[in-house]
Amino acid sequence: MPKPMLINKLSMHCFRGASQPVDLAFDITKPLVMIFGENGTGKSTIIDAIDLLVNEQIGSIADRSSATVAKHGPTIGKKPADVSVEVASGTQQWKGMLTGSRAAVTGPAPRPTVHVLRRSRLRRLIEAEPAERYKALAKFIDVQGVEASENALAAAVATLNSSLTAAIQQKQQSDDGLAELWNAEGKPGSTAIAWGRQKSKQDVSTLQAGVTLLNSVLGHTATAAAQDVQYQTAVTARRSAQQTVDAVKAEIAVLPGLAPEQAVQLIGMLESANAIISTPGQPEKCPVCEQPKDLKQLKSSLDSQLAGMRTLRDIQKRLSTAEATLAGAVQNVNSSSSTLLVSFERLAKVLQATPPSPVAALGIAWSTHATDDAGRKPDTTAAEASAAIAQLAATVAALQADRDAHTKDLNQHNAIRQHCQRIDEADELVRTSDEVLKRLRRLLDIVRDRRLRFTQGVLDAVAAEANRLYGEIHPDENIGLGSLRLDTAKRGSLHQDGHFNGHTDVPPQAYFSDSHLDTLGFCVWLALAKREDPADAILVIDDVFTSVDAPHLTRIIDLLAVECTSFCQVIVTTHYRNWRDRYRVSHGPGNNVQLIELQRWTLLRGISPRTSTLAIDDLATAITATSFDRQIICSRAGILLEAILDGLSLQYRCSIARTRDGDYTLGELMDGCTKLFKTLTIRRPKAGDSSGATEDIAMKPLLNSVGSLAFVRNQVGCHFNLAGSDISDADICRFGDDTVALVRAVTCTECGDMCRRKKGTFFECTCGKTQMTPLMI
Amino acid sequence: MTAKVKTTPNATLAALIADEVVQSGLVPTAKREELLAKLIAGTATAEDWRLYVELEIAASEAESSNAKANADQ
Repeated sequence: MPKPMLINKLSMHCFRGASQPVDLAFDITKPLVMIFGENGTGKSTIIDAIDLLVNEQIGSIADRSSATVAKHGPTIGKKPADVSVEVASGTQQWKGMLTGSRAAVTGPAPRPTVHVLRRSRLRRLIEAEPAERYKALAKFIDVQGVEASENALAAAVATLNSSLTAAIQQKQQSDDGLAELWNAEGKPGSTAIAWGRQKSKQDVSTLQAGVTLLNSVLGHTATAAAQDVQYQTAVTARRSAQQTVDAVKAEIAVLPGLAPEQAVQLIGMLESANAIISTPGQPEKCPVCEQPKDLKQLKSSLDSQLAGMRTLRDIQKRLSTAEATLAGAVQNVNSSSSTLLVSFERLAKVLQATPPSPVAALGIAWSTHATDDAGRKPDTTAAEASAAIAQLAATVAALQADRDAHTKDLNQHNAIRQHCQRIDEADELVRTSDEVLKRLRRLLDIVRDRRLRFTQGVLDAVAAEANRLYGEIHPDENIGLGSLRLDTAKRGSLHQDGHFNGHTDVPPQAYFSDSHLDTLGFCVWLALAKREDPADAILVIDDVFTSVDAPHLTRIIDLLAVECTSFCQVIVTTHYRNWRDRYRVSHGPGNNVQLIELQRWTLLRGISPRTSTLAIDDLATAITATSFDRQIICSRAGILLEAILDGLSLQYRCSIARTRDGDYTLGELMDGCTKLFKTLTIRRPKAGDSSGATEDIAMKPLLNSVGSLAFVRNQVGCHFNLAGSDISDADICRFGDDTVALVRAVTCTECGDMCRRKKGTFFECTCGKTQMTPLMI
Repeated sequence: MTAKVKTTPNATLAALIADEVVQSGLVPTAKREELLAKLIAGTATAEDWRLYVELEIAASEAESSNAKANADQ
């Protein structure tokens, strides 16, 4: 199993407040590192350095406006290239640099897991919009892969359900359609479906063939009829043309004189002579008889003869035209006759085998009008074809009626068959898919239910842990986090409810005070950090408890002392001296804490850390120091005693005369605790004994012993006092030793804490190894 | 130092679902690993779900047919 990665060293130079090179060594044997420093001593710089190296961000700059990494990451007056930040974990090291506006880190993967909490982010979860809150928790509850698969499953259910519904609807429609047809037929048979199935099985090929034949006959009949019309028209035109020719010929026959051919020749000669005579420069004598001629008279005579003969010529032209028209008409008759006979033959071919009954009734021998099997063509005339077509035309209405009736029967059969087919298909679909649908629905229920329970379970666990922590800080205050719940109507949305003085489902941000919101934010953050492999994680908390009062802070300190053992390392910064002093004077598990104190910062000096030690260790060191300082020993012993007795007297409500300022002298405290120490007993594991055996230590002798020399504190450790000079070094040493013995007796040797937690019939220390009785005096 | 493999909530939930649907007899055991991978990747399609169900139905029917045949013998 890999060891958790703790930070054992941090080095910085030219980074934020680290104007000088500074190294911080973290004691990895201590689960908690406390970095105390007054304001402006460099606490946030340390946190920023860690954040930079493990998360590649500088949160304190990111949280502030008008501040950029490039410009404000380096120490003032320095450049990004000057920045040097290093963190070490064991033998591994990471170095951070600033490149422009970004942080770049080199080093091995993976880096330590560090959760950083800053003041600016304390309430982010609490005050965020539901979508932002969801994002913060997404890594714990995001189950997108399962959700996508669930959606696909839901789609499968919907699709199959639709198909089944559609099939059932279609079946219903087909049932209704079939029933309608069945009703129309007079409800034959037992049921519509039985009747339908029977009808579906009927052979309709004859019906089909009948419709085909009728369509063919009607088609060919129409074609032949159209051809016949054209033929008749051509015959009529030919007759008319013939009549025209005959009429013109009749006109010619009644004209007297020359035969038409001769007259035409003569007209030609006379026209030629007229043309010669009309030409200027003609001789005055006739070239034939040489007699003088009167050209004017001759021309006038020619014109008169020609006029008489032109009428004949016109008639001749008309005759030519009429004969040409007649020839055309004859050709048309022949052509249309051929076309008619072709279409008539086709018609005859269709009718020759099995003519429909209206046609058969005509008694026409259709086979004689079609080419026979030997290839002999029929000798049907156009007139015969025309006559037959005229007879056939009379049957068209009956043929159409037959065809329509057959078509109707065929359509009905098809409809019945289709309805039955659809009913059968729907039944089959329902049979095969019904079980599938049932199982898919069950699957969907399981997946959905499991997902909701899982995610809500995580949220409930986070809320419960946050509430538990919150209860430690705010006991008996009737305030807390109610629940975290997903918005079922909106993906990626997380709501929170608080409870406040008996009212539930209230938004915390509406009713909680600032400090209550701060502590709630801290508890939720801590609860989340505990979910994410805490044993491998480092918590870094940067001076976040600024709004919390002393009693609550005491509880937070105690809480952290316990919770830090869940993580591999916790680093806390604070400006709250009280917190540090509590550990120093054994009012907390000082043995588990490394105390680092940051001294006053200047640009020249930079960040100046030094290790703080526990007061008991300081006293023990002073007692054994080569240079024996009486005042320091007495002073330290007195302060330590006061701290211990003050704590015990408060815990046991010892009787001490009240003072206005709440401060008590050592003497007052010792007197007040005398009754307590009579019965005060410490039980702890025997040193060096691994069997689990314990030893009981009675505190009375120890108090008596230290009490006998308590006077040396004032005389040597506090005030100028000549009488103090008479006190020997041995007495001072004994006073110191007795103080050390008392303090070590009353505090746990493991965690260094006093026994302050009530548990059953005794008090116990933070780690639980040391117990103190009684519970009360 | 080797990195610890982190399990995501999605993977955890996918495993829970895969186990439950197999135990419920809705998905064949032989398809558990395939289903788990698809749940994690979010790639299970409507056709996949239907196929798993149909395979399980077919297997159940085959089993009951065999049982009937054995009983008849």
